[in-house]
Amino acid sequence: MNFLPDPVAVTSVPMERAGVTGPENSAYRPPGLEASPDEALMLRVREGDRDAFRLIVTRHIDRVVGLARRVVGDTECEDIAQEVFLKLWARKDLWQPGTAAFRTWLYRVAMNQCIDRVRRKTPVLMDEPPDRPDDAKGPLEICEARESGRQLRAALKHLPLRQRLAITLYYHNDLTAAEVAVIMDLKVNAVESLLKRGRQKLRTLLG
Amino acid sequence: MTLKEFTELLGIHGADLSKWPNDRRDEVADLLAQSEAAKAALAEAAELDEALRPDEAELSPERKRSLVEGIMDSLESSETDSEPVAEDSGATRRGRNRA
Repeated sequence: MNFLPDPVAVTSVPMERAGVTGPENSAYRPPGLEASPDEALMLRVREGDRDAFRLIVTRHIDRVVGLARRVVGDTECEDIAQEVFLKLWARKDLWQPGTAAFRTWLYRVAMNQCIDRVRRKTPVLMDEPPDRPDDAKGPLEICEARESGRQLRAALKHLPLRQRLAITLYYHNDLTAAEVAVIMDLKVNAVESLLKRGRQKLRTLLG
Repeated sequence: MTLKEFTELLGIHGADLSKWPNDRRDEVADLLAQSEAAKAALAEAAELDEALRPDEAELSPERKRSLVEGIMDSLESSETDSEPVAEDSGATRRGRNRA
């Protein structure tokens, strides 16, 4: 899996702006910016371009909210998304083209923010405990959640954190096992094991 | 690829074959062309995949607009905040694009 941004796409975006307008002017809209790939937008964001950052936020906020909703919960997911994007802006200088796809970096920040939130709520072991029987309330809660999205979120709560993260990144954020491995800093076979166990448990819970 | 190997891989990667490792996809096509049991296993896995995918918009258009504006409005204060940004406590940092 190649995580490098497409060099053609990145370099094809004009970096020089005509006239005196610039990113500080909120009316300034470089032509074709909306169609630019994330990595090209991030080059502009590194220069402080807020229009480019707005596009990045608009493009990805749904998926970040969804990740947080599935991993942490409904009540905090929007706050987490806000924290993630503010952190991204604060750390924009750290993003380096050519070392990782933007999406990988974004989801890594989002994942860490989710982990911090979960840890604040309850102490969580990142190393998974041995499989234990489901909480007796689990299946009932899942059955009572009539709408399928709620059923899934209720079921996800019964997975260990790392399984929940791997399953969510893989299915909700539509990544491959190799991409999830980069984000979670695990070997691919470790992610495959998380996906397998998570899938097995969800099949039981949702079945 | 045997049916057993196929179901093992289905249990890991799900029914979306585009997300499978490249080196196994061709073998899958051959197996699916020959095995009804493999087709049935694929269909069953696809049902679970369907349940795992998002089936709803995470945010209404209005809520999304409001959130984006809130974030953009907060950039100013985040930039003037003199406190250093705390390091994440997550375990996943490698390479130059640190999170």
